Amino acid sequence: MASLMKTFKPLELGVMGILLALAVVGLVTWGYQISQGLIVTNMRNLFPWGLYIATFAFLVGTAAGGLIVSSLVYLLNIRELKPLAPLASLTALVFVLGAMAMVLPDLGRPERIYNMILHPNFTSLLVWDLIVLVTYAILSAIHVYIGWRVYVAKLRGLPEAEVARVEEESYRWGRMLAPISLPFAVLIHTVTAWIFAVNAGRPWWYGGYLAPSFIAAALVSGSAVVILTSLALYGFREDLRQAYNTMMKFLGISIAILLFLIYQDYFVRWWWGGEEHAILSILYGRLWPTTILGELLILLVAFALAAKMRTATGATLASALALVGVYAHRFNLMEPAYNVLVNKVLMPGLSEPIPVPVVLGDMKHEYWLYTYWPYIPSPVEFIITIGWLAGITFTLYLLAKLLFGR
Amino acid sequence: MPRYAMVIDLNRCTGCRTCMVACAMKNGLPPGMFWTIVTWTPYDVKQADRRGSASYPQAPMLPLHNICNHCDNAPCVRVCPVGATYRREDGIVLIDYERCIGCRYCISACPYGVRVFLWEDPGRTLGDGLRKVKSPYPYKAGEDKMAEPGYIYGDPVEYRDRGRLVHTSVLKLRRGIVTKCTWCVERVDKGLKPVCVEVCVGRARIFGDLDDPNSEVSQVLARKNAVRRLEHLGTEPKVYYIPKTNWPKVLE
Repeated sequence: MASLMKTFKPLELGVMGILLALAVVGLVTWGYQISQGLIVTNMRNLFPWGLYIATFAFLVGTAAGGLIVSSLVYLLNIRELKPLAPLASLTALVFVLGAMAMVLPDLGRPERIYNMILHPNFTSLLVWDLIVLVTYAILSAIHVYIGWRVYVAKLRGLPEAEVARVEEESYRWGRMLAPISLPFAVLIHTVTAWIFAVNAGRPWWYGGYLAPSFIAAALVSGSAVVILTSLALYGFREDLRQAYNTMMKFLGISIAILLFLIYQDYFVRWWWGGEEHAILSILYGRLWPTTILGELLILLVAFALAAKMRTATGATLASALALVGVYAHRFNLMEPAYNVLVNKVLMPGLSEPIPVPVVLGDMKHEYWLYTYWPYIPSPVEFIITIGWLAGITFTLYLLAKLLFGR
Repeated sequence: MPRYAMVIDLNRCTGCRTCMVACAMKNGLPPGMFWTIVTWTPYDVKQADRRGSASYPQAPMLPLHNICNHCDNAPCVRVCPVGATYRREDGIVLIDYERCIGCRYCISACPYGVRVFLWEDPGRTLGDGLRKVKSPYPYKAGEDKMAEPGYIYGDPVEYRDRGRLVHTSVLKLRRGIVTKCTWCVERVDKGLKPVCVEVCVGRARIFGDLDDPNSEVSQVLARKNAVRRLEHLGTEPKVYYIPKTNWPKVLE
């Protein structure tokens, strides 16, 4: 234990202590939420999914990015990225487990989750999402093991021939697995996007645009997390310089693709007007901090940094800002879907369709029929989400340090 | 096998909301929670604010109904990950209260906004509601000075459809699950009509079998033009609305 503690510097221990404390606070708050019911969140009947599910989508994306990076190493034989491949697999593993854990606080009855296995309904994309997420977790665990074997062989100081043999073997396994894991990496985020995209009653989600944009967001947040983990673990080392440069290029291109996908969609909606304008007026009205600052400006700054500043500061800033930007983009997933109501009645004799109000679901507000719900996550939602994110960061760094950081 | 449907004749509706109240009483719904709603809505929407209220004479009003459509192609049934929401052969869409995990995917998928989640224990909502109106009778769920100890209002009988709990007083349920209109399945199975149909003073709500040409719904639908809500989505809803034809003049 003492020798284990010695592998961490005091600063690292401090940061990890804070992360662990935040995670514990999150867990305790979840206990409070279970004891009170989901009434302590600001979700209501006309806004049934909020910050939790947005964070879930963000985490799935980050997980997908991890194996996309590490299987590209094997498939396209990008040699300079090889030292980052095991770390990328580890982020994939930790984030996919974290994403599954993120759904739990959103459930009204988390203790009944076993029904997903006892009575799965195979027309529901949530069931398919669970299947691909579990498969993905297993695949990334295998990838982590493959990378770890080489690392341990080097650490033990085995003879050079032996290390080369292990390395050769691992590379062969990686090459064999990559054609399976790359489709799964794409698939987890595609299926997650389909959870939303199949809802014909939500014009903001419905259609074929969502899945490609989710994949682009996954490439951004996934590569950003790999860069950040590697920087925290190894620093901006000279022998990794080439790897960082390639990752930054990859990050920049992904941001450009994501912004293109977002804004071509906005253009189509803007051109048509009507219901689609209502979506844009929510995005640029009430949600302007996440739309203009988060999604556009922060991502543009991250893009510029990734393109121009190939230094330690540049890499850190670009990746951190990219994560913030993608998270803001994810937050925008919810409100335009729920607050642009398709639930309207148009009958002969009416000049315009009448919106049908929805029962709010509590007695804490003075009225109980609403057609619009200005959702802002409640403190409980914020604390639980921060706790979960802190727990994921803690686990990721701990495992990275223990497996690959010595 | 019958195929049930409901017709709501807006020419006959007086907007008295008896259906809402009877439904809430029979199903033991806590305050602020309704499985069917009738709202007086100004039909010139520009005048209406968010809550749908406006002042006379700018706003000619229309009673607006909302109730579960028991769709033939129900999105909620398709998306439920555990199969808690299911559609019977006679077309009634039900929720197994003992299986629902509370993920609220069905609320996201339902375009009609008829599903209500139990955000907290219904008894607690009842207490909140009564405190809010400053009721002279301090009432907690399950204890009423007027009734026997342990009395909980709403239908005292649990009803199971092939072993699955689909109807009980909502006040007996615990938080964290989704509920909605069941078209009073326990009454329909006995050959009775849903309470909202039974109590309607103007006989605006009609319930019956679409496949039986002699049933009242088939007769009415054959005679009159009826519309269904959001038909373009392909959900095949089974609540038919007969549009208002006797519009009042807008006062200038």
